[in-house]
Amino acid sequence: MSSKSQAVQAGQTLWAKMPKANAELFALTYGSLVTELVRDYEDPIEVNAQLDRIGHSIGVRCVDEFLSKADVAGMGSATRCSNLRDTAEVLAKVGFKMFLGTGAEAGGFSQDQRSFSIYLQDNPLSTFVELPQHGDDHQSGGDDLRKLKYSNLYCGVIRGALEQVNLKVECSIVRDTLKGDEVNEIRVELKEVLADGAGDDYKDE
Amino acid sequence: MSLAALSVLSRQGTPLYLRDYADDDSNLFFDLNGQSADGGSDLFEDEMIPVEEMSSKQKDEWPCQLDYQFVLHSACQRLDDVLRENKWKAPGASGMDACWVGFLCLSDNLRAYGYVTTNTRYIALIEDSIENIQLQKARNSELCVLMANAHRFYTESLLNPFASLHSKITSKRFESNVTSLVNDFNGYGR
Repeated sequence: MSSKSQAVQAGQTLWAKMPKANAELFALTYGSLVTELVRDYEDPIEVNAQLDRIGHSIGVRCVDEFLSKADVAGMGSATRCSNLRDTAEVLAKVGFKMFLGTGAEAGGFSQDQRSFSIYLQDNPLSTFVELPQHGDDHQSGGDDLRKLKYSNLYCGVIRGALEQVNLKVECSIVRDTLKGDEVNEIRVELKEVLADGAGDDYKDE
Repeated sequence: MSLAALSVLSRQGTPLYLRDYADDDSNLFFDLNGQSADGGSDLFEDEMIPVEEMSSKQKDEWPCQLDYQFVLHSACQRLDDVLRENKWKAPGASGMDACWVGFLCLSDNLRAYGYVTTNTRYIALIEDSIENIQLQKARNSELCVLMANAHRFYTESLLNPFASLHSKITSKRFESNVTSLVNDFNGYGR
């Protein structure tokens, strides 16, 4: 698909133009954020929800930056996404590449074209991370960190970003290299396409 | 020559990692008659008292045979003495050579070597009988490289946000990396 190669090209151009940060500093900052959340909330499910919320507010801001820079890379309004497939490609090839520097793959499209998966080969957030073994009595309350979704931030970012372009989605991490799988997989499901509107408060009487 | 045991200690001397790499049929503790020390008899026909076997729970916690642990303790004492004297550093050395302490002590046919960094100390027990000075020098520099790599793996294991500082090393990645380092080192000797 020509749009895919266009997306790859755009992703690389945009990544070259973005200011860079030290990868170790980035990973360590995220790591301390997660461990702090674990210490505060103790329940891994609650921590996942918090990471999702944090990711959501990041995504809402990222998408504006993405759309403003997309024109520069030749992905302007002329190459608008006509279906979910295009959205997935742009998200994986341009979005992830631009902000993280790693390429991601979009795939796993469902029959009804309403859900897809993003595959991340190497996850910059989880360099050096090893989840502690279960049954470790030193953990506070003996909580089971196997239920922790370390990279849940991505789910929030995707959800927040797509919400701003009127796509209401639900994301979840289904495969995680920290748990032993070979690739990180994020499942994205379209719930509904929101209509543009000013909301109930502003409707005419 | 082979590396029999490796230990990582904190600056205060508390153990962080103890591991032995000898095969089970090591001929380390044979007595003069060539019989195994457990249950055999020595030159005077007295029954040898075998060293107490470690319980499996102890083995899980510190996977290093007690015999090696005894030698490591005495090597650690000697390392403390050497460091206190503060004359072990070769002048003008830098990088990993500056961290290399060298030969610490000898026990049975186990030689102990030390390597210190700002936050940890490494002691390795080598089981061999090389008398040739040239070979010893070459082997020592290989050992220095091994310890430097082990230190690099340790630093990386500290970058794990779930690891707690100054406590026992529980990282599986560290364990498998160091084991492959030791296997490479031992592979050269054969």
